[in-house]
Amino acid sequence: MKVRIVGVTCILASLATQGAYAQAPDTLPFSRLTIRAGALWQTTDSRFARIYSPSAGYSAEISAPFNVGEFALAVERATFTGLAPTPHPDFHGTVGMLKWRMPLPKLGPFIAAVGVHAGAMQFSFQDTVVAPGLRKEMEEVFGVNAMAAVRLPANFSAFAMGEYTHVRLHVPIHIAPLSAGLGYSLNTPGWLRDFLQ
Amino acid sequence: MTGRRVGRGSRVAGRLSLSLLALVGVRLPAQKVVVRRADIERAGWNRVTEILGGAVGWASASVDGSTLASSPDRLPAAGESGPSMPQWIVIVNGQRVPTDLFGMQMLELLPVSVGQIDSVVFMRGPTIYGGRPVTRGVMSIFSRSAHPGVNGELTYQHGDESGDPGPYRYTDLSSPNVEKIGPFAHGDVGWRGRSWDVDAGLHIASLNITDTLIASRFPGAVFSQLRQDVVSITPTVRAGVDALGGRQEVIASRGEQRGLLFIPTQRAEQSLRATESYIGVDGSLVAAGSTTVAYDASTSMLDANELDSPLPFTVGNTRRHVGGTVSASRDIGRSTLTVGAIGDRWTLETDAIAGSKSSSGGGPLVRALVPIGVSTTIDGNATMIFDGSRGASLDASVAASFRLDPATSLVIRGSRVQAHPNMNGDWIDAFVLRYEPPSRVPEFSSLGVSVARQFLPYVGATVEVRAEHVADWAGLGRPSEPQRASTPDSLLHDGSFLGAHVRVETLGLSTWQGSFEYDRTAAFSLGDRGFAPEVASTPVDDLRAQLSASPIRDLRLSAIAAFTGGSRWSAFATSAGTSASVPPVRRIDASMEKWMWHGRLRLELLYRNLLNEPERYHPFGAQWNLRWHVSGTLIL
Repeated sequence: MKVRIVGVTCILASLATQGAYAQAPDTLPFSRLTIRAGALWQTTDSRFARIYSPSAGYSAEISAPFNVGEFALAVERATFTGLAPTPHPDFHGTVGMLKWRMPLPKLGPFIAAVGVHAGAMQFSFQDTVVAPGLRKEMEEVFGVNAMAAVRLPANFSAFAMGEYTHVRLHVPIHIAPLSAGLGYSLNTPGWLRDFLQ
Repeated sequence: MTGRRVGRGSRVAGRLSLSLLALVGVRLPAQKVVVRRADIERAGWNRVTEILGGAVGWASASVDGSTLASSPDRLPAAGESGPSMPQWIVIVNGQRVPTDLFGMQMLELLPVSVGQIDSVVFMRGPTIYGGRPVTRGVMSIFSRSAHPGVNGELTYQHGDESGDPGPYRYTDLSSPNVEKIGPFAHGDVGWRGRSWDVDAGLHIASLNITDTLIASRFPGAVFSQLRQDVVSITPTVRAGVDALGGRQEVIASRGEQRGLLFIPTQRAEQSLRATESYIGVDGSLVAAGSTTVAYDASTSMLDANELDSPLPFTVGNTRRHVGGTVSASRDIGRSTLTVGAIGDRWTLETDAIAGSKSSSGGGPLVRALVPIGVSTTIDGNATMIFDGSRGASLDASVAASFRLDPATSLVIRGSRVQAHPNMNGDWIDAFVLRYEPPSRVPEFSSLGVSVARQFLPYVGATVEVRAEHVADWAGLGRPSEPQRASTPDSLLHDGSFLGAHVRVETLGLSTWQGSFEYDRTAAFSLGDRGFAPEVASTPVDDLRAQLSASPIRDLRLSAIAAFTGGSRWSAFATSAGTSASVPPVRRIDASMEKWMWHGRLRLELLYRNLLNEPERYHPFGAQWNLRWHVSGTLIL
């Protein structure tokens, strides 16, 4: 597993280096912003699924083309409910991520991209018994993701996104979120593009 | 030289700094390890303490990550050595700043924050540094110069360690909660005019001490009443002016650190509030035609007071230091001759004595820099120290540098330096901790040969081999053994060490930058069997390699590997005849830095210990898992 992580990192770095100078003029860095929002459904690994069940949630992200691929800042939130017969306190799971995706060749109005992401998941426990300072925990997450979208009129798009996320708790959790919704693209305001560069 | 100081961002400037210093580094003996601005940025170091991570071969030991002790020469770690043994020293812009408190280095109380640092030079072994005899090593910090007009920088970093229990806290799979790391923050604002500049800064750090391996050493009811983090806050002021043919500078600070401090000799923590007030001046001026006069003088007060807790408090003390050097240099033909004097005075106040106890030492110094032909330079230093009532002793070092060809240089150096407990205040820790110092002081001798060569236009390499002998190093003895019942001189040891250090690094402005550094120091002759178990507390091997790439503008990706050998600590064993062990560290870090707003904003995402291997730096210390840090730096 460790060797694989290092290997994937090297490959990505190499790809980034090679691809840095092969950019289409219509995808200049930070030239456009795409805002996406949608509904979120999640499944978890079987060990975790025996004690908690995720409810439907929501996801949102803002992405922009980069020199290589595109970057996105994303947030996902859902409530996890303790399961019978001994239900544990519910918690809200909020995930903040930095995503990097590499678009695949376009096929008409269809767009697809695959990538990796890393970030943190905050657990907000609905537990009034423990001290307030212990009701929240934050943990690292990383994983892979894929997105498919179709362009719609007036700069809108519809998307579906799948992820596989590893939450690095002492006993790890694996989450596979699936989200779908609408996106809207716009030219990046000059001041913001100036800031990002 | 980076960040706010030059136009488009610190990535580009960092490369320049890296390149220039790397070229200089080719001419330096490998005894020196140089940590540059770019190294600091890509490693994500936001505390001065963390920069010790770049000093390959300096065996650092820390219980909580906040404060550390370091052995640059493989001599036994703090807690395995007697408390009167000499330590390495810290120099900031030429001024000596006392940081040692019971063998722990209080580097967060220094009058400089990470954002103000241009480079740090680590020198190991006995030497004479600026006329000052140094027995074990020097950490010399150089601040960077600001660009004209208003300038400033603000950095905030936060991190978290993986391995929390999460929702499994309610199940049989529950585990202890682990640490938040930080926040670490530092900022400074200043003005630079044509011939003067002024700068005010502040650095803050907070680190939890709730790791299970720390907390489990206390009864639960006691630990819950202790401060759960170690926090330090240090405001600083610096001003400089170009006048009298040189640059004159004044630095002042008042730092404070609160929380548990591990006292190595006692093998336990005490809850204290340490404050250090410091003011120092340094500079040079031209007098009597071609004579250059250099000076530095400083005064400091390091105060250790009780911080309310259920723990016993026995180490309260106030130690004051006044010291300085003055020297005059004159060119005689192609040679340069320097003569001067050095002196230090220490005063201790503690509840155990009425009034105060003081010591002092100092003496004349001389240095000759003699070029021979076009490719050879002899650098000789000698200092005669009158150390309190102990009489005079002569310390000396000599280095011969040979330029073998345009790309290759050879340096042969030798030195002999004795410890000066009265001049350096080494006796203070022993006095406060009620240990009787031995009658003889340690003496250090070293011989080293280094070769530096530049291969191709882009690669430089340095190889050094060195031998060092120490006489009369004091061990600590068994923890249960009443020190006053044994003769301190019976714990003295002699030993010899043989080491090699290799550094290979890229030079210039290529897309890929990297370095590889390996150090191995082995004991080959230890005078008696009692010394070997103490020396085993420092690792034999240390390796650090880094690789970074800037594949596109304003983005830098870096990977850093650090491998350090394991160690065994006989004084920290839980049963007689055994040793507590610290496993080898095998760590890989990765960072991504992005500059925005035309170089005014730098964001960094950093992962440490990606392999999630056991990472500990002390037998009683915390164990660190994979962790992430996010930091932002705003540059004016």
